[in-house]
Amino acid sequence: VKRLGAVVFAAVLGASANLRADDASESVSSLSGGEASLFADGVKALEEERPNDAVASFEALADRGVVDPVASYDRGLAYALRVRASAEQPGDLGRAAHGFEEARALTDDPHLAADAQSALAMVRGEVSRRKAREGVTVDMEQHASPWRTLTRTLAETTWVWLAVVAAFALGGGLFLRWLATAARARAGAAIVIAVSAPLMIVTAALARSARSDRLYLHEAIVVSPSARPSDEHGIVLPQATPLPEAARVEIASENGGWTEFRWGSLDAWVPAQTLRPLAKRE
Amino acid sequence: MTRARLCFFGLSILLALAALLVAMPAMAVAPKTHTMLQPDTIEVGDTTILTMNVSPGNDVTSATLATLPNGMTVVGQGLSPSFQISIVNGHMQQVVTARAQFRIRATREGTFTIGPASVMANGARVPGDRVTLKVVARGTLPPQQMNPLDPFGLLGPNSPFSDQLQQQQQEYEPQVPIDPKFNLERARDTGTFLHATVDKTQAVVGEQITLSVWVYADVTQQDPELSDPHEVGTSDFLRQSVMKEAATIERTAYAKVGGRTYAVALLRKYALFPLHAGELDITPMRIRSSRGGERQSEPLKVRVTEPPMEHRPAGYVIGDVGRFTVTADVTPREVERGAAISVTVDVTGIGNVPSSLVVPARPGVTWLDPEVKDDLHVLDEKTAGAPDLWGGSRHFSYVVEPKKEGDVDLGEITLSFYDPRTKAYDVARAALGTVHVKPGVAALPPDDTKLFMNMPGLRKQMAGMHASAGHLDDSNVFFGLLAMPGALFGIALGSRRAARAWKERATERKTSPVAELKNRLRAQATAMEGDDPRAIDGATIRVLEAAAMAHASVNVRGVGGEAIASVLTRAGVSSDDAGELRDLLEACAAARFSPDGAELDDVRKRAERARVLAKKLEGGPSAPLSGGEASR
Repeated sequence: VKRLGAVVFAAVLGASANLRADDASESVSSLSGGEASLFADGVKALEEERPNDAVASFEALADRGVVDPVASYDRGLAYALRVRASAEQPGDLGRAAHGFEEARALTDDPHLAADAQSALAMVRGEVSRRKAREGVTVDMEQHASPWRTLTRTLAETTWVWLAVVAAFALGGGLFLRWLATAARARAGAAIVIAVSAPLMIVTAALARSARSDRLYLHEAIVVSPSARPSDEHGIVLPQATPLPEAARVEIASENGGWTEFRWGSLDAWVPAQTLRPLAKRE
Repeated sequence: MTRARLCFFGLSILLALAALLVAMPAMAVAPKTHTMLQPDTIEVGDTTILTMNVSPGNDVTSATLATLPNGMTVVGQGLSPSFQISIVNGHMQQVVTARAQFRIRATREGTFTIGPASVMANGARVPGDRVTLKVVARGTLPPQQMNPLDPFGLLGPNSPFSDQLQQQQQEYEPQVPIDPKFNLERARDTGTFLHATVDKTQAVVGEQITLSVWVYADVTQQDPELSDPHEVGTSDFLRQSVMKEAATIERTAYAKVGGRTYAVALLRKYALFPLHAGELDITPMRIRSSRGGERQSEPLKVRVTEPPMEHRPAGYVIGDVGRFTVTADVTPREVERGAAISVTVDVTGIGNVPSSLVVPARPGVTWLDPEVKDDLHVLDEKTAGAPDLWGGSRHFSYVVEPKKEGDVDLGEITLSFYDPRTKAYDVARAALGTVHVKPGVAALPPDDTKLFMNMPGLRKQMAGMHASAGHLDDSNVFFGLLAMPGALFGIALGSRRAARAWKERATERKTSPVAELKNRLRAQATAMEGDDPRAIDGATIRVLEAAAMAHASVNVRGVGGEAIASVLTRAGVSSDDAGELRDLLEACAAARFSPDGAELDDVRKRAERARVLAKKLEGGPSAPLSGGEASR
């Protein structure tokens, strides 16, 4: 049994080491000179309070497929500056929120995440304030389902390793229960089995759910001040209130220039251009 | 003539001239009308059609029919333009005729005067002629031959099927100059057909594509009369007509189609600007022809892509394609705070001139929405460098309000565009310069700069995104790790049980009759190597007993004489073998206990016979005998 345990441990270590090696080799190649120049132009325009030029540079960067939390964050700042400079164009608040949401989702830097969160709150606060002026109260944050909320409490990797640890605890408990002769040891083994078996099932399910979200969940930000939920034929739903700008929605499907979205309990369609999808880590 | 009379005479002439001047335009454009009723005699309950043709009918907007006599009702009416191409002595002419039709049902006998019908053209009422309708009693008129293609007369007297004989005109080929660029291999339809072409099948978003729809008319047949046009479907494009007059047909040329001479006329010509990328469809144009009913052009596809990403300037808006220049003017250059500055920007060029510009927004400078004026048209071929190019200029007038004092740099207006001719991007710029804002008496505007004042600072260094870390649960290793401990436990448990079972089976095998027989055979072989006849006979007896047990499951020990053979036979052993076994057992027992002992050779022969018999029994017993046979 000891020999078997040693072999298993070595296999786990080997697999883990393999994954680490893959991680290290997957770093993205550095930016081209043009992209770096666009970023520098955007930053310079922001410093000189030229929001349109900054927006143009950061949008050009995004058009080139550059996914970078700082670029997204600065793009959000550019749109916010344009609003501040009284040169706001429809959808600027939504686009600012999009930049901050994207930065928050992409970054590993807790400071950047905190700044993005703070900026996001300001933008959404402004949207709420404007809605309140119109006499409409909106809840910008629609709560996810309890299961999704639980899934998001920990990172996918954490759920994965919790599931693996629970599986090994279960295995150890089973062996102990089988081989031990002392009553106390057998009782302890029974407790380990009773705890680790459901824990393994739940954490594995959460890991799968987190993986599913990572691969298949597509979210977007409303970038239009007048996105009216419609049915699949494009007819505006009479009882539905317009989607607030800067709200984060889940994309369900896309068809012919229309996007089906879920926002809280609302499942409806809006023109595709009223939503801007959030970039994800690939 | 007195002065008063002279004045009166002069005034009268002036008034007459004025009346003439007023009347002249109307006279100049007075359209010709032709009214007809077909049939002019019907039975009670039947319908007739009153048709009023107005030519030229470009400006006809509505048609009405005066109050009908009692017993007449209008059951349907319509107004449609028709285009007629006439080829007279090799010259093609095109006339737009408006046709108003009224279907009238009669409910009583008599002779009635109907009309006049009238149309509104250019805001003036144009009356037609009165017609007379005779209504007779039901069953009075001879039965009419029904037109199988229009059994209910719904298509009226101008039905394409009503004058087939007229269509069979003399077929001769006039000598006209042929323009080979319009030649086609074969006609899409007989008589008259539509043919649509685009100047390019691949373009970028916003690039002009010129779509032309041609009508081909066989010159040996009657002039086609075209009506009820349905435009090409270009929902994925911005469409601008590049014809001189959209409602007319432009004469073009003559062409050979499948060896026949056709007159070719341009029906439509559009500049199309793709609105998005993809495989975009242009659906056919449909029109009704007096020669054979509805005709439609071919559906077309255009493959549209976005301009290349490489070298795309910042601020480029998808769709800005062409060649443009931007000029700007700012007045005045010195204002008091709160006063307005006028900024006018002109965008001129070839292509779909952008309808909006990005202004250089700065904090403290407010740009109000512009007033936009267009002057877009088909450009002159010489200046544009190619025919049918759409372009012109857009004039943007902005009101700009500086809110802070001092020198304010307004920045510059930039317009990035993609030039499909050079396949490169370019940027048109117009610097707006600086405006000096003096202190003003106007109150400061609300401090909107407080908005987002506490916004976190910008970042100047990109994070350098890395691909997301590999996820253990993306590989089967995850499931392997989850299953491994349980599987190992299962394997261990199973192995232990298997080992136990194997051990038990081995023990069983050790005590089995077959194993016992093998042991006894080995013992007999050992005894045969010695010289003790009794020992050999004893071993032979034990071999025979074991063979009976192993192969027939019969314990013959203690069974004597004939009973052995009988028991073995019942167990399926052949009677010969059973007899042999019995004989050998008896012989061995007799020899073993004989006081004189036995000859060693005989003993060995018996031992050999016993081994042969044991081998023979190993083949398995034959089918067991029935009880009767066994007892016999």
